Amino acid sequence: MNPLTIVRHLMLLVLVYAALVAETTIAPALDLGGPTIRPLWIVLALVVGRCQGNSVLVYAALLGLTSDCLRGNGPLGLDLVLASAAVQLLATARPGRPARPGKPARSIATITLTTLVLTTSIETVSNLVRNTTAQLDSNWLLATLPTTLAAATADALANSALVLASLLLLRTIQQPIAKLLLPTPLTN
Amino acid sequence: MVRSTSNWKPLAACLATGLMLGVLPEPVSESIRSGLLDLARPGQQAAITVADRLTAWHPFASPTRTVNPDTEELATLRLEIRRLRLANLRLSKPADNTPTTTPTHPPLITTGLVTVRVLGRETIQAWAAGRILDHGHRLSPGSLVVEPGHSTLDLGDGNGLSKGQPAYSGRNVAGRISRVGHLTSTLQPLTDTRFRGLARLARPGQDRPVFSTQGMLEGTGDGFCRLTRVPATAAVTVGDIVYTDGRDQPDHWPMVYGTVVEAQLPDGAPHWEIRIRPAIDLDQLKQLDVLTRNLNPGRNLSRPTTTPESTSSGVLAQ
Repeated sequence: MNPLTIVRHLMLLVLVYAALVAETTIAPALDLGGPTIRPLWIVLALVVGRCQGNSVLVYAALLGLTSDCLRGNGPLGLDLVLASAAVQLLATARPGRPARPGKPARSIATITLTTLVLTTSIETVSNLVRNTTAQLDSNWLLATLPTTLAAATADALANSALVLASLLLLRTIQQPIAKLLLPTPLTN
Repeated sequence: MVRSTSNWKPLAACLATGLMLGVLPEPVSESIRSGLLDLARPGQQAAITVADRLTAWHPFASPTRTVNPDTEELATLRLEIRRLRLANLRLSKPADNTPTTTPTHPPLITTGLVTVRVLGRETIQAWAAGRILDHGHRLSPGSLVVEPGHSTLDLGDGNGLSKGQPAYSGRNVAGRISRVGHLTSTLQPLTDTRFRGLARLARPGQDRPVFSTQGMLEGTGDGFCRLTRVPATAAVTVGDIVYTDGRDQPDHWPMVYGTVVEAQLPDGAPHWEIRIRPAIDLDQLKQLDVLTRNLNPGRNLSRPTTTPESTSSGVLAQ
């Protein structure tokens, strides 16, 4: 295995742990007036943007299981299944991908969009299933569907905005540093 | 025919794992959840530490900065604790009544600790039955001092022991010498009904015990003691420590009698009814330290020669 790949996976594992810690410490302390930041799905979007192949699914399963454990209600393994399925569906349905299959998308827009889609889909379905298991009533489920969807969308938007701002900031910082590191062209 | 590029086996494995996790029994799933939360704990503590440091670090602090009310209250309470400690220290200083200078002359009485062994019951029975070889010293069974219910010690008046001397085990009071023979002596335990001793209550403090009310410790005969003459106005709680009270303690620090296990104040009673559990197990004693007091041989005990002008009668006459 390429040493760079090992380093990348190690960094991603550190990111997963950091997301776990942030989910339990920073995210509850943030008061955004409704939306909740889900660092786990942000890391999942980054993994989708940086990795390829089966490792993405492994990370999705790991992050999904972590989310399951943090939720505390509902069946264990639900988010694992949802995250894995969402990642797989995203990989197959990604537009403009057939030209270079397996090549990860690294643009800021793609990662932001991935965060939006992943967070919305996983959060909505997960909350709906958990609500259903808590109360088996179709009327009640239908009544709460708009609220659940709106909350998941708000979370997804907040997550995406955070990812977008972070990546833009990172690029803004990277560009001057890269210019500084470039060798000065020789002139007459 | 177009071959699908997607490999569904990993996804199927993930789905199977999820389903298996979903049907796990509740205790197993709960243990998995708690295990993950335990895994996150070091990171959480590190995050909290970093957050605290960031909160405490204000390089551009401005007077208009909003202060967390909890932090402000904590700081106020810390200041209050500091103020109360200083006040406590100030108040305790006069109560110590410690002279500012120490006497330069040697003390009149010197104290010492004589370590004695406690003779076992079988040894005493063997002695009483004359089964112990005396190597021609002609020791009769009557030379052994024995008292029912009291431990027998293997030293007597030939080693400086005398009646009434207190006996300690470590820093705990065991009792006092009740009878002394030439070779042995007996110990009156502090739980004996005839045992009396001045005592002082104390509650555990931050650095040292905080002493409060005086009382009289008496043995009850059932393995416990009682503390009497503690006024109803005193604050007594279960768990308070009972120390000896007096100025003649070895190294000027009180010894421990025991712990308050029961404290009752009947309606209208002027004194507390306090039950004390001794600090030591008297049945397990193997050796003791007996406090002895002797005249200091370093002091000049001879009467000084006096001149007629300096006699006491002359002074008194003046």
